[in-house]
Amino acid sequence: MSYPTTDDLNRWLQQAMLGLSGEVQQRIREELEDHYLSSLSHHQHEGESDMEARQNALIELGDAKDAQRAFHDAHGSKWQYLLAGILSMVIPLILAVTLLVEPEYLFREGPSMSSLVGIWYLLMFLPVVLPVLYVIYCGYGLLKYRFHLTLERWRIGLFVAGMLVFCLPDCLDGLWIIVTGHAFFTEPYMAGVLTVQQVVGFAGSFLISAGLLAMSYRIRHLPFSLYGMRVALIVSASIWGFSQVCMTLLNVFPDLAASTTQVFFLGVALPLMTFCVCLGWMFIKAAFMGQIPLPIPDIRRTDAVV
Amino acid sequence: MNIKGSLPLLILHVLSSQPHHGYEIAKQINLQSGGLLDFRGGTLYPTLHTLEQEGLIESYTQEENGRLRRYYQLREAGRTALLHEREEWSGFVRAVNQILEGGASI
Repeated sequence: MSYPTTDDLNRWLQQAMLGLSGEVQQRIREELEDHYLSSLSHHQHEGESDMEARQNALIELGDAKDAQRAFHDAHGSKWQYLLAGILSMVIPLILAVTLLVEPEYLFREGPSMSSLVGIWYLLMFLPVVLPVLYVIYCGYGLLKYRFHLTLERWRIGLFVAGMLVFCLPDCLDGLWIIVTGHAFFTEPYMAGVLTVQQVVGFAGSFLISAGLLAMSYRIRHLPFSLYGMRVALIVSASIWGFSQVCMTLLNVFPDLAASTTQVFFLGVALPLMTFCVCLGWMFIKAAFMGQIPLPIPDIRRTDAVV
Repeated sequence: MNIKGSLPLLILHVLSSQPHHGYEIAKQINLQSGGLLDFRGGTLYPTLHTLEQEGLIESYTQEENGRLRRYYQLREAGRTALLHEREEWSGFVRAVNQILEGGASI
């Protein structure tokens, strides 16, 4: 009969912690080693031999694969954060491609449009919305674990609702093209609809900004450590608002198109890309090094606010 | 016997009297259940971490005999949750008992 050794405990821990981020692994190792040693000491006091005590202490940890699944449910895997990091960096590129491809289709097709263009309009924001939702989900998990901060659902709900409302006009436009073969604004009796489209899009942007500000307000109650993230959220909210102003200017004063486009890229695209790269870097650090590039004191013990 | 769904309630109950580290929590549950409930470390710690993330409990480290130990204690939100969970559990037990005793008269 073979008895467990320290190597067996290490193997158990390696299996249980597989795929978790470095910081989480360190904490789990400390806690479970302590649990194992307490259990070992208890069994030795009960009069068991050293080998028996080791075996029973290891049995009391349970099945390593079950533990792995449970820890993944609790903390998320490092691959999840790595994917969120990569997506954060890629999102501005996807957005840029989405916006740049759009006019190509418009000019090629003319007033009469095929179902393909309709499908394009219907789904054009999907490659952006889905990664953004995933990044929000991962960011929420990270905030909960690292900062012990629970954001109320309505704050995130506001942002998500804003994204959906923002995409709604283009989705409806896509459906309209699929059904009728024409865009809203090319229909003679739909003169006012474009304005409605803009208003709905603007309402979506307003909700997105409100959601970002609501999240930043929640973070306000924590110590200085999260100041950077709060600023980032406020900056993103401003960027959204600013981008809408630019878009509206483009529609109202077409002559300004060139300069406004430049302003749009300088004022919106660059800050947005910088923010996304910072966000991506934060996720990648969380996945591999267990550190986040923000000045963080240990707030878990005394300063966390519910 | 190992009913995983009851673990968060039991943890909150054990911590309602005083802070404990993980091993103590497992032992208290085992002791107070007369040896019927025996939660393994691989089940206990993920649940503790989840409760901590939900803001119901909080942890801190303390050096003890040269070892750094992580203690858990109940937060105010945890006390409220404990009352709520306890009521739910009582309702659940009453309902199951009622069925086992022949069901409610219709």
